Amino acid sequence: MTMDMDSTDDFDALDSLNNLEQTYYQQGYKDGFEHGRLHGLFEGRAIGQEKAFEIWEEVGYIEGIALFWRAVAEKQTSGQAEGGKKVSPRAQNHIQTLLNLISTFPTDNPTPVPDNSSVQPDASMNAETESLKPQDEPDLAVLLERIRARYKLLCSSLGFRPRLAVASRPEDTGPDLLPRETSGVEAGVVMGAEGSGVAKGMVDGVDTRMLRF
Amino acid sequence: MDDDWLEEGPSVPAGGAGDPMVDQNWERITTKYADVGYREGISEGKLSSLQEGFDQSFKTSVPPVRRLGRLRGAAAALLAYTTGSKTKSTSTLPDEVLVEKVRVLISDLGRIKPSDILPIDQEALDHAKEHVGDEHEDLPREKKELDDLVDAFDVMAGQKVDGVDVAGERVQREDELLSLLEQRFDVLQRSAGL
Repeated sequence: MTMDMDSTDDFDALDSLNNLEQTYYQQGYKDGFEHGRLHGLFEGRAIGQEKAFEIWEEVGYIEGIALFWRAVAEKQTSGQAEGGKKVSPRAQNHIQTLLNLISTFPTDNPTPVPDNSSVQPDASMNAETESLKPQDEPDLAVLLERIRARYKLLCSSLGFRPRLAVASRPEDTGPDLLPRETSGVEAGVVMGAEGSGVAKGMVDGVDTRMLRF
Repeated sequence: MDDDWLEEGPSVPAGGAGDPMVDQNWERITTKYADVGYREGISEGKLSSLQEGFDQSFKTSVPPVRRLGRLRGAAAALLAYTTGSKTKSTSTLPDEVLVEKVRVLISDLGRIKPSDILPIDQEALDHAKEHVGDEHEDLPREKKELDDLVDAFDVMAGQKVDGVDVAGERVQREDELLSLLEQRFDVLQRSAGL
């Protein structure tokens, strides 16, 4: 659009055009934001399901093993079950430790309201993700590793081979949706310190690379 | 820009109503800025709620997933238990039959997909339906389609978990499905004398 800059009328015209831009931009932004918010919810939920499955299927599996053998041990102690492997005191110790560890494993992910000013168009996606990381990141991955290690100990004390490829099911959508970190969980749910009883952690498991807008 | 135009109609403010240029470009400008705003708004709106959605569904997904995990673990342990020793005086089934049943259960459990036990996001589906053909709308449909495909193959291969009708639609899902599987496990566990 060309304008004669010499005329004051035209400056007014520019002003009103600027306002026009602003008005329509803002209206568009508002509509887009509302729509985007829905998509964020839907996608967040889908990712939440995925992460929950990825993590808790494994933890649940190990828990199921531990509960089963604890029941066997109890029956054996009371003389109600003769068959099967004897559950040694060492194995029973592993079982108890495992169940304790699992009972501290986060099932919830309360996110303190992040002050990421969502109405700041310049905030880059990465910066967004970074800002969601708590400083004292108490490690979910570490806890999971401890559970796995203990699980392997239990298996060897019972004389069984641990489950292989724990998280490789066809539904796993491949590396694209998974965090790049080594453990595969680090970028998932990061929870608050368990001992404190307050899970104050956060998740940055939302992979912003998935965003298509 | 031609000067005549300005001189001819000084009473009509440039850029105001009646300015032919504005009429001409009105639509183009408004659409353009509204579009830019919409685009940026949708990105920001999305980022504003991703975490909330994640937290919501993580919390509600854990219990059913945990149940499935426990079942898988327990079934694997039951198999190890039943194959681990010959002396099962308390077993109520012949060893081979019991072991076979446990194997079948494990196999069935292995075919349970996340979408079988996790709640359907009806809101998301409804929203997707509202916006069919909308270029902005690309909800994670592929996943559902993949699951359907897997189901179709299972049906063709004659391998479906109990509770599937002829059309290949799983009759039970979520709580009902998990309960069914838990019952099967309990029966086998009792059969093993536990």
